[in-house]
Amino acid sequence: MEIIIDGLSWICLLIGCGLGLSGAIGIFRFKEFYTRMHAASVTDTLCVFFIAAGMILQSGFNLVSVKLIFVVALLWLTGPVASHALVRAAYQTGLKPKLGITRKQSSLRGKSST
Amino acid sequence: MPYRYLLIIGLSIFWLLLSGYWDNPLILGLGVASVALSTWLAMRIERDYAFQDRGLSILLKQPTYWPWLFVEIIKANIAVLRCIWLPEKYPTTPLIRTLKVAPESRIARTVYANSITLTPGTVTIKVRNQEILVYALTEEGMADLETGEMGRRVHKLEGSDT
Repeated sequence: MEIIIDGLSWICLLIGCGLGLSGAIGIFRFKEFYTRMHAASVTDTLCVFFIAAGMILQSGFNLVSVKLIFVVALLWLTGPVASHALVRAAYQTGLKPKLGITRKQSSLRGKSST
Repeated sequence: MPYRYLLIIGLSIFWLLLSGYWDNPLILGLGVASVALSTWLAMRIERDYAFQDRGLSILLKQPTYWPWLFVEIIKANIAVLRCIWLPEKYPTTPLIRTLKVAPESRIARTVYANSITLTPGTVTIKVRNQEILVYALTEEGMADLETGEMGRRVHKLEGSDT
């Protein structure tokens, strides 16, 4: 039984590390601010979840795991606020995102699809 | 008014779980003082920005929303990971579009905008009355939002009949 829980927690930790690494690589691979934001949000969400899940499995269910659940919940609630503040500040100060589809085209497509 | 008591109960549980020292009167007293201070600060905010929306209904229906949102987050993560690791096969086509918002109350619109930002691949840039400006990494991500599934679910949270 202990081996199964240990194995599960290791799988969770490894997936979390992999996701964190891909987020970091994505930050370098994407070209500009707005797209990099998305790479960072991979690290923000699932990476945090898997690492916390792995640690909860390691610690067993006690006060420590409750605190870990709080950490995940607070990160998931405050992460979007922080990224929204960053993106909005960048947009407001006039940093133009490089778009694959221009705004006019995209709004036209939006109308045709509905 | 009931929010005050909800806040006190919630903060007390939060403090007790975080501290773990449940029998030292000094530390318990300090905990009571900090709960009182935070409640007082929250009440001062509420005096200016009254919380008259349908917060309670949203709070009670959260458990029906989060599992669905979690599945969406996993799907969106896979989509962004594909763009990171296989940029040739899955190119990014960033786009911006203004979307109509289904939820009406302020708190529901906040939940909606936060959920959009929380799912990787889409970010809310601006929230204006009943419109939001969304920046998406790929066209599929934007198309998913445009079907309005997430908006409908948040709208259901606030209880459209009351």
